[in-house]
Amino acid sequence: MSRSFQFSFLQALTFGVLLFMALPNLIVLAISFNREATLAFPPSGLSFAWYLNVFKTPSFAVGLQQSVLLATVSSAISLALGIPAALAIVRFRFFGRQAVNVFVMAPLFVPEVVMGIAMLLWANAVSTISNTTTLVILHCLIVLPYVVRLVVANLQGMDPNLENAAMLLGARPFQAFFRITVPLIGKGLLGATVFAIVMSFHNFTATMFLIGSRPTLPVAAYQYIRTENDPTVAALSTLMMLAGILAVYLMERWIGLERLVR
Amino acid sequence: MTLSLSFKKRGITLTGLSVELQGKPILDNVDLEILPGEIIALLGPSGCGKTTMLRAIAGLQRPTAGEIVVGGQAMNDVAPYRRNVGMVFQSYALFPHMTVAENILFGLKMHGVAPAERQGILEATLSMLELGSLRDAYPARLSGGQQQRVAIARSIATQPSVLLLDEPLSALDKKLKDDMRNELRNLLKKVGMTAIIVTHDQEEALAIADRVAVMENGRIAQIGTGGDLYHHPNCRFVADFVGYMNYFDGRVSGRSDRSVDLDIGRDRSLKARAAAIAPSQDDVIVAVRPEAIRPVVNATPIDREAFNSVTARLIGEEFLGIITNLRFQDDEGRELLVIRSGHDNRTQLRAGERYALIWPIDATILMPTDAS
Repeated sequence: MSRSFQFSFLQALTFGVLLFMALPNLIVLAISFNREATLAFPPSGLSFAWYLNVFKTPSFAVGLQQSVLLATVSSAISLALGIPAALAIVRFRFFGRQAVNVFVMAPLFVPEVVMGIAMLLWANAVSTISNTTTLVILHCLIVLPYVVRLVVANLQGMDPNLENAAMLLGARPFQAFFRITVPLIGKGLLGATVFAIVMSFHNFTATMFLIGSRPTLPVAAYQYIRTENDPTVAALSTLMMLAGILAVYLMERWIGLERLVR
Repeated sequence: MTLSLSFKKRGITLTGLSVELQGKPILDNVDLEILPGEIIALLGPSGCGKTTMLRAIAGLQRPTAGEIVVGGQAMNDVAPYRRNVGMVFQSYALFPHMTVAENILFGLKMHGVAPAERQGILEATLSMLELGSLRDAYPARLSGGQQQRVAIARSIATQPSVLLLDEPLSALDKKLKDDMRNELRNLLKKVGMTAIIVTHDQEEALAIADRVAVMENGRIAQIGTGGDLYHHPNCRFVADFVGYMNYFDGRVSGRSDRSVDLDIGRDRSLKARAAAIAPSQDDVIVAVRPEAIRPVVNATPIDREAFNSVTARLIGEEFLGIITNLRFQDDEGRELLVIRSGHDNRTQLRAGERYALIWPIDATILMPTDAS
């Protein structure tokens, strides 16, 4: 009797917390269908007009392009730098290994506002580089710790003698890497890629400081909401949320999220 | 089906091999000569350098000094993938994303063996290790014993000149271990491959290898057949590592052509064969294996030219089935272990009684003191 009461209480509490976490998003979802041109809750009627408006707003198209570009380029660079860094950290015992590890992880502990301002000052000092280049560098810094962390976790779960065994069977080091290591940490690499893209795509705080003529999608949404009060931004937010949920769902299906967050 | 595996027997020579890791000597100036087709066991506690020696021969660990020669060819600067050295890892290191057959074929592909020939070698290897029914299984589905056979199959399929085995039986349970050590020796002898097996288990070393190298602190303390190590250990470390041993601190009090007289305190003396000791030494450790000792009733007449004898009190008895452990204490408080066969009930012994412990002079072992 009291056990089942406790159990149902726990269930109710869990449900309550989950609802509390989801509520702001659910309100945004509701507002996005509002018939009136205000960001008001509860909505006064049902309309899909604002979804149409998302696709008619030029700054969102620019923002999407810019965000996709940034996410693609910065995650590609982060993988290219992060995979060798993770290999070095896991496989080799060299002088300053711990220092490298800390250095790569450091951006995690720097407030994004500080990173944004620092990058802005730096970009002004070296005035020759373009706005987009600066953003790519910033996003690499933001994404790299996650990529390294994930690849390190996946490599640590792998028996280092597998590559040795391959080499003693006649495989060159690169053959051993591509035939043994890559297939075995492949899912982890895929997860790191998705993670990097999502982290870059959604970044706002630090990105904000470096925006020139071409905003990213989150910044475009912010700029829009400063002048307009209609639910277009709510519709955009709902779409971005759905994309995020889809990414998480696919990762869960293909990889299993627990591999990512361990 | 004809067996298409053939092995060239190659010897291994290590000269002054040293490995330092972070300034600590792991292997210290090791010399070792392994004959073609010979099975050598490296026996020692963890951290003695045995696995490092294996990794150095495989090319996975660069020596700080010394030379590795396999089949007459200097190996120091040869990359691991060109050494043609097979290795069975302690963890087996089977490729988890490949089936048994794919694991075995991997080395053949890497060596550029033609597909038709690959298939023949695969079949021969599978049948030799009785893995035919498991060819399409993934390693995670196999038992420890099966994984070990796959690891061996994979490493011999490329017909390496030598096979290195790092604690190959340690992941198996006791019963399987005992079966596998005979199977492993038979297999190695059947293919006639030169092999080095690393183990910390003395029985395993004695059962599998032709010769055993006992290692301590990066050096080979002694190398020899099981009999050599057991009956003529050259130091306490070897004596303790292979079986049990009783010790007396002794001093040489007289020498003749045939024997040495040894003073072990309180006017007691023992004899040993003269050949057993360097002529310059005076302080020695006198040792005797527990199963060489026989307890007899104190008044029994003893041939002093053939037997040593000490008097001791029985303080404990442990019947273990195959053997009985008897614990004695002599007048100076030294504890002596005597092991008798479980069937030996000729002498009824009573706890607390004094007995004469006798053993042949030939079974008396002399070793340098630890300090020397």
